[in-house]
Formats: sequence, C-alpha cells, structure tokens
Amino acid sequence: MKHRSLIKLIALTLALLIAGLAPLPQRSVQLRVGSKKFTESVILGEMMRLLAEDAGLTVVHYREFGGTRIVFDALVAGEIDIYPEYTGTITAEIFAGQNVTDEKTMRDLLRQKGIGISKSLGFSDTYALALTEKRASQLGVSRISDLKRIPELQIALTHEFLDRGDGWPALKRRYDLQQRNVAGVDHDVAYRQLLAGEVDLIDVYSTDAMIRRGNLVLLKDDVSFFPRYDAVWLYRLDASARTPELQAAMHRLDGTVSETTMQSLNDEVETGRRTESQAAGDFLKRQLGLQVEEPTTSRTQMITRHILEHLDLVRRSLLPAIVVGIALGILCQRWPRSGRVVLASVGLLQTIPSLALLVLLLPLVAALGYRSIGEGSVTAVTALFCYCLLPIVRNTYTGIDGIASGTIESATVLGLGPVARLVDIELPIALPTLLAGIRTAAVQNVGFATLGAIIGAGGLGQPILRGIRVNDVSLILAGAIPAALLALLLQGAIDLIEWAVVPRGLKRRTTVQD
Amino acid sequence: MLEFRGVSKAFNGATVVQPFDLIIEQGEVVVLLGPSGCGKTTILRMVAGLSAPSGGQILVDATLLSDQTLSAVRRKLGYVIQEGGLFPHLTALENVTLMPRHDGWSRTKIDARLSTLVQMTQFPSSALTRYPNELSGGQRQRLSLMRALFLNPRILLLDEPLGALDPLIRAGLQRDLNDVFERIGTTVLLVTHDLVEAGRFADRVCVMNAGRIVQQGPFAEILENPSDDFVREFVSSQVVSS
Repeated sequence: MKHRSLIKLIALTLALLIAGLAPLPQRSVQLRVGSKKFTESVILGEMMRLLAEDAGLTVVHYREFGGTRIVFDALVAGEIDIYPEYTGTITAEIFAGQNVTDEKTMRDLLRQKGIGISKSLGFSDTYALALTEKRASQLGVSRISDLKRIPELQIALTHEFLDRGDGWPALKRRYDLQQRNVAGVDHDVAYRQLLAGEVDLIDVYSTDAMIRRGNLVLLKDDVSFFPRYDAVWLYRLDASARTPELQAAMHRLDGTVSETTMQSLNDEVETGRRTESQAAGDFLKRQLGLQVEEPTTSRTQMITRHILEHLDLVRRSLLPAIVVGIALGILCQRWPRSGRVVLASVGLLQTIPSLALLVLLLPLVAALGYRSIGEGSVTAVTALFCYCLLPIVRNTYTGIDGIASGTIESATVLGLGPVARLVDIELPIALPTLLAGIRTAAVQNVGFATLGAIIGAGGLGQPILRGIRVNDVSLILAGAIPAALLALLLQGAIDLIEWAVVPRGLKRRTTVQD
Repeated sequence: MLEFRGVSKAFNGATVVQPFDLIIEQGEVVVLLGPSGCGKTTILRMVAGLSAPSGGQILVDATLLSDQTLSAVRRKLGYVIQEGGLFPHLTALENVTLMPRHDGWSRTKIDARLSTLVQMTQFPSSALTRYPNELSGGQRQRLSLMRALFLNPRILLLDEPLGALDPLIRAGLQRDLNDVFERIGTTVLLVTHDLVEAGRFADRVCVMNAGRIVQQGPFAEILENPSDDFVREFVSSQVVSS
C-alpha cells in the first residue's frame, strides 16, 4: 500500500524507456550504398543498388544523406560500403592539404583507410564556365583565355566556387583575368539571371542538367586549370572481398556513362519527369539490357513509409527525453545551485544550430559504435533528444517549484517521506505544467525530426529535401503537410491524456460560498 | 505533553525567538498570542520539525525532538495552517484518508474514523467527493482539521486556522473548533493574533512580543492585569476595535 504510487511511477518509467529504446527489427543487408545530397549522386547510387540487386544481393541505399565529409566518413567507419565520388574531390577535399597529385598516391592513401577506387564511370563532372549560345557567339568566345579581351563581362558565381582556394581566385590568376563585376549568388539564381541576360557568365558543373536545358556553351579550359573530376566508385575493400558480386557490378558500369548521358539523366530527374530510380533503371535497361523490375511505389506508399520512419525518430527521442527530462527537472528543483547549471546547459544545447549539432554528434556516435547515419540513425535520435530536454526539464522544475509551500509542509508534517512526497504530492500537482512541457517538446520534435533526412535518417524530411533539390513543390508539401498534421495529432493526443489524467481539482478555480 | 527547554531561534544572526522555557500539559489548550513577526509561528514550526531550533530542546511526550526522532514525533502531531495546506489534486476524501491509506488501514477502520470526524468537524459528507478548489474557505479548514485529527494526534498544532475566513464563518467555526478541543482532549498549541480567538480557546494564553513570551496565564488575567505597556496596548487596541 505504502509503495503503490512509487511502483506505478517506476513501472511508467520503465514502460517509457522500453517503448523509447526498443529497436525495430532490422532487415539483414548485404550491401549498403550511399549517395550525396545532389541529384547526380543519388542517380548513380540507384544504379549501383539496381545492379547489386540484379546480382542477387540485398541492398539498401542511404540516399542524399550528406556532403563529402559525412559520406566519406561513413564509408571509412563502415556504415556504408560504397558511394559515387569524383577524383578531383578526393584530391582537393578529402586529402586537402596533402598535395596529392598523381593517381598512385591517391590510391595508396585510400588503401591505407581500407578503401578501394574503381575505374572511371566514363564522365567527368568538373567545374566549367558557361554562357548562353547566343551570347558566346556575340562575344566570339570559346576558350577561357578568350575572356581576357572582355574585362567588362558581368559574372555570377556560386559562393562555393567564389570562395574556394582552387576556384575563382586561382582561375583568375592562372588566366590573368581582369573582370571586376563578379557577384556571388545561388546556383539556380545565377542560371535564371544568365537566361534573362542579366549576367554573361556563370560557373556550372559539366554535367548540369541546365546546360542541356538552357543551350549553354561551356568554355574550353585551354590551360587545363581545372583538375579532373572523373566519376568513380569508392568502396570498402572488405565489402568487395566479402561480396564478389560488388566488383562485378562496378565493372559493368566502367566507362559506360558519358557526360551527355549524365546531363540528360540529371535533366530528367530535375524537371520532374523521372524519379532517380526510374532514370537509373531506364539507363541500365538501355545500356546493359538489365531487366529492371522496379516495384512501383505510389506516393501514398512512399509518404506512409516516411511517416513511420518519422514516428520512429520521434518515439526514440521523445520518450527517453521525458524520463531524463523529468528526472533532471526534479534534481534542479532539489539542488537549485547545480540546477542552474543544468538548466543553463540544457538551454545552451537548444541554441546549437541543428545542422551543427548533427555534424558534431556524427563522429561521437560512430566512435561509440552506434549507427550514426541512415535509417535508425542514433545521431539524429540523440540530437532530437537534446532538443526535447529544455521544455521538459524547465516545466518539471517550475511545476514542482511553484507548489505552495504550505501544501508541501502539510505533507511533511503529516509524515510523508521525501519519496512519497515527490510521488504522491509534488509530481501529481505539477502534472499539468509537466504535460505542457512534454507537449511543447513533442511538437518541436516532430518539426525538428524532418532534419533527420540530412543524415539519411529518413522521415518526412526526405521528401522535403528531395522536393527542394528537384524543385518540386508538391513533393515538399507531401512531406511538410503530414509533418504538420503529425504535430497536431501528437498535440491532440497529449491534450487527451491531460484531460484523462489531470484531476478536476487542478483544472478550474471555483469559489464556493459558505 | 509538550516541553520547551531554553529553546531559541535565530535567522542569519537575527534572533527571532529568545531562549524560553514552557511546559504544556496533556490536554491543555495553549494560545500563542501576539502581533505578526513576534516569533509565535516560528515556535509552532519548530515543534513541527519544519525549522530546527538554534538552541535548547523540545520534548514531545518526553521524546527529545531530533533528526532521528523527527518522523516518529510527527506521527503524534496534527498540523493545520491558515490556508489549510490541502492537496489540490486530491478530493476531500482522498485528502483526509491519504495517511491512513498510506499506513495500510483497513477500509472499515477508515470508514469508522471518517464518520466520527465528519460529525465532529461538521464537514458536509456530500462534499467529500469535491476537490479543495470546489470547497468554501470554512469547509477547507474543517477538512484540514479532519485530516490533522485522523491518526489521533497527541498534539494539535494550529497556525492562524481561522485567519483567512469571513467574520461570520469564523464565529461558527470557532464554536465548532472549541467543541472539538473539548471532545478529544488533545494538547493544543494554537497561534493567533486575534484576542477574541485566544479568549475563546485558551486554557492559558502566552502573549508574545519581539521573540519573547512577555506574559502568560488565563485569558481573564491577561485582560485584567496586563504585565506591561505592550500587553496593555495590544489588549486594549483589540477590545476597542472588536
């Protein structure tokens, strides 16, 4: 009798923890393909998935889950087995500052990390300078060195290209260019300005879909300033030893993808005519006669899957955060001095930009041996957990601290010990405030969980990211609307719980005359 | 029996209760009377173990109050404060039966005790299912008293139990409270600033000023023979005003 409430509390805590931490059954997977967050990388990743499946492997493709650093680190950490990369990126970014100039050194450095590199897929995706066909003929330019003659040229460059040491500054020096009208803008904006005739010249990737779409002319790099960005596969040597089918699958693509092929594949996806899977499948059918039996997933199925992934992220971060947050809130209230430090730290945690938090957590999670990227990413869950803490800790603290001292003292003199007081008096009285904290955390969490897609953790952020990438508003909405509904639903569920468990005595104030 | 031996209290170096001795006999009703800030509530809180004496000893039924004996001593105490200190999340019934349920009393034992107390405190049994915020001020104080009496305390501590009530309700509750004191024969230590209340309840009144008991004795004696200017003024101001 004496311990009934305590037993209930412990049971509830355990139930929350078990519900929050229980892993979902994982498919056993023989090959994990990764791709970076741009269309071309995703298409190539899909090609590899289809080829490996054709070879009889169970494959999962972690799509568009990060930039070079994140994806390469995931490969080294063994979280993925293979992904498409560019030779120029390997020398200039992955081994930046190590002055890797020849292929052999690059190969050796990769081998030291347990990474192998395939032959070129057949195209190079390098930086290039582009003009409209019309403007190029007006100005009579076809090589970069021709630009020296026209210093008044209007140029719009991507910020990345403008800032990179091996980008515009070096190019300008190498070609001795004099242009001063150079603006840093977004890639899409630059393209639109170019078509509108507001600028004369922009930087592009040589396989950009827009080259084909906008009839652009690429200037010849006549002094070979740009390094080669040959598309290759980077793969784990142990994976290729384990699964010989992988080598075979890679070889089937050797030299098969030309620059114009890649341009048109990118174009098909970015104009929304094909999904990455369809574009990759069609290509393999044409080129290799592969029988691609792609089960067509409807948009509803796709969204349903993302909703489930999303709920899983929320479940695994929110439920443990409720337990930890309430515990921390109680500690803060009991020991106000350390409590201030805890509250400040939890508040600080909330101010770390989500992207930064994810990137900071990645190596940590990987080092601890947990799945840092992809489905069920512990990184995403940990970041969400951190963001959940503040409202729960703060509301637990204020809820308990705001109870009238007479009430607590009455309980004390009645003979309730500290545990009974907490469980029977303080937590129940603080319950409405506490639930309000959980509600705030839950609603925020559903929103934040869309960011999980940045590191491939899936969820409703995936269609949003993809929609932004391929400029498809309906896809963005297909992610954003269910996310908003989910937040509302969760809020409603918590309101319902509140209605059911908060006693009338804590709800309304009534004055009764004697 | 409640005994104070040289008990004093200081907060941050300021003495709020000067060392004093006092023995309250079993069944005696003692009222600590004085203006706010005179230290009367502090004495009550020290008995309840909510505030530790800076010096001296408190004996409750010959048990020395200490960290070790505190929880045993609290079992012998009933405590009622001005706003009742009721648990807002529990119904009236749950409020009064919290401790017996906690102690594993049987249902029949609880029910028997409850009907005795409902009758004694004049709490309307129809209101037992209500929450404190659905009760009137007077009902709340009756409930609080019921809760304090449930486990048969040896000593009842009341801190301005009628302080927050309207005059009319106050009078009714005063009468009922007095009946209760007479029926249960418990030792009572009651704190108030109200002369009429002191007169109504007290076997013995201890008038306090600035941390000192300046006069003690039966109510009539205080009225007739104030021991100093302070008591005279304190008494006459309230006699005139009431």
